[in-house]
Amino acid sequence: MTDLLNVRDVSAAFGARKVLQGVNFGPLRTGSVTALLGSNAAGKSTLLRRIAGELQGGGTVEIAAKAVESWPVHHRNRPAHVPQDISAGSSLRVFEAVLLASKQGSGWSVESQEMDAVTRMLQTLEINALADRELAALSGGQRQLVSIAQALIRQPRVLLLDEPTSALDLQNQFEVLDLLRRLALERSMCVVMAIHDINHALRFTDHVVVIHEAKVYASGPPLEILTPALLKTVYGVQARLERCSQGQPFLVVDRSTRQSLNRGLPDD
Amino acid sequence: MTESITRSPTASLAEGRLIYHRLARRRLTLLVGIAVLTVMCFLLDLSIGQARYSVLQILHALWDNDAALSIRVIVWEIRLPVALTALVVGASLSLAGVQMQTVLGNPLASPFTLGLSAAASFGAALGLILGVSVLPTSAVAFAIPVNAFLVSMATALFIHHLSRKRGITTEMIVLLGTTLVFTFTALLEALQYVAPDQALSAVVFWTMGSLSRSNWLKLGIMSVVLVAVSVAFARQAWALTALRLGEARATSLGVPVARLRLRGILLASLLASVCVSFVGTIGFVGLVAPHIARMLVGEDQRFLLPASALCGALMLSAASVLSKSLVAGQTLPIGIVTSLVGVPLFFTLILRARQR
Repeated sequence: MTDLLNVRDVSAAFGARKVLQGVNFGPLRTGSVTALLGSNAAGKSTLLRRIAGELQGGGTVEIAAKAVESWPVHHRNRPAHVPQDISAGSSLRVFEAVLLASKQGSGWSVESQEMDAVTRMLQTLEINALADRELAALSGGQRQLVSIAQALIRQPRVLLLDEPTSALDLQNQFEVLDLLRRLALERSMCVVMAIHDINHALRFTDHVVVIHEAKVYASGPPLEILTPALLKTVYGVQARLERCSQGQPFLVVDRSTRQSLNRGLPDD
Repeated sequence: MTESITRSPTASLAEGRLIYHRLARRRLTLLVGIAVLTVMCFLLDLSIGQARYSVLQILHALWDNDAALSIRVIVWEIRLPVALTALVVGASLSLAGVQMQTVLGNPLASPFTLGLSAAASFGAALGLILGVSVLPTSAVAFAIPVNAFLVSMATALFIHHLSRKRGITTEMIVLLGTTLVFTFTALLEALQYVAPDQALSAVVFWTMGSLSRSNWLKLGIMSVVLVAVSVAFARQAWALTALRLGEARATSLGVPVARLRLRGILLASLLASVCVSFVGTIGFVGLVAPHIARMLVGEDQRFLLPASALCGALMLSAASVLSKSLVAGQTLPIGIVTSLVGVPLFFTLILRARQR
């Protein structure tokens, strides 16, 4: 495991609204899975776009000790980004969609080994049965896996995902997160994902970065960071960590601490 | 979700190749099919007119210098420029349409709906009614097309300029284009209101669109622009295909979305403006031919680009044949024919696609 990703003093603004200010964390190591946590509109997606080099702003994002923008656009050290799936999909076939991702910036002809690389990627994600299906005919979860395949086909060293489980049912949530953790180790990738589910962060990640009021509020191993006090400040909920019969930690939320919703309830 | 996302019967590498080859072969076959139809339509277009010739006679006149002088003059001087113009203009308008639809992510985008045709008509009317021209009187043959081109391109640059502003969405651009259609139509009507009768009929005829205004020089200009713009689009084929996955996904694949969009709008506008300036308003082809091409070969721009161009060429060539054969001894304005014949055809296609 080597140090790969460093976020130094990163800021971002949309017009006058400062979304991120002096965000610092890292170094994140190869083979690790990191969760970006924070309430809605905390700037998690913006931070992912900054790390991907898609947005300009103050500070630097370093991949392998060089600024992300200094790597060529289709280099392995450019992070691969899986944005949230909002498009309903097109009539492209799954095979074409993944091939398309690998062919960006190159010529018209398609070599046999490029096709084979696509097939292997689909096999890795166990979606090869869908190869000939149109994107528009897939379920949200299937499309999410195609998006991950599109990101992985260029063998990136950093994989960024924006709420990869938001469209998935329970079984698929588990499978995707498990797969990401496995891929991180097998391919020596650094995986960073924005998620909402604290229990997923507890179960599947090595590291959490909590964004609150445009800054990093806390950063470190999930069990040390996700305390009741932090959850109250960042998410505005009264919550506690419990352990199940097998020793796995899990979060129980008791109530929201917002006054207007709890009128009449005694405050602790 | 009714179906697991991880069904996994073993699919070998060969199966992956097979899927791709099957797709590519099917699309190539379709491309060849449309191309053959287009050539047939083109030959039919050459053989129909005041004097009717068989296709064999036409081929003979094209290849053989010993053919009778009358048929050689008719084919080379009169019919060939018009028939080729139908192909070039059809291909250009369709290519402009498919790229406007691609970069704006909107199925309604076309040279017509973005206001370029209306702007060109207004530019032409300025010359026809008020006698406004930027050219010296010696170049009178090009006065009206240049007027139309300048106003149309100014409109395109205006749209381009506004699209660069922050927070302008593609929907806003399409809405803006539609607004421009109404603006230029109103301006055109205002001009027509004050126009003398003779100028009025010239404007009405101009706006209907007609291929017979073409000649070898105009055809040459249009062809050069078509080839140049096609090459520019072809070089961006993968990036343009990626745009269909949505802006966020395309950006994440390393596609410079904003730059690609601006360039696409500008190039497509140039292509459409040149054609509309020379032959007048021919609506519908730029909107419909891309949709037909997309239904046939899908989103991959390596196939969609040639398919759109061929569909447009075929549509306009067929319209040219019809415009000469619907009313005996008369050539109807082609703009009327494309819309009247194209609309039911397109309706049928949409309804069939819906049932699938």
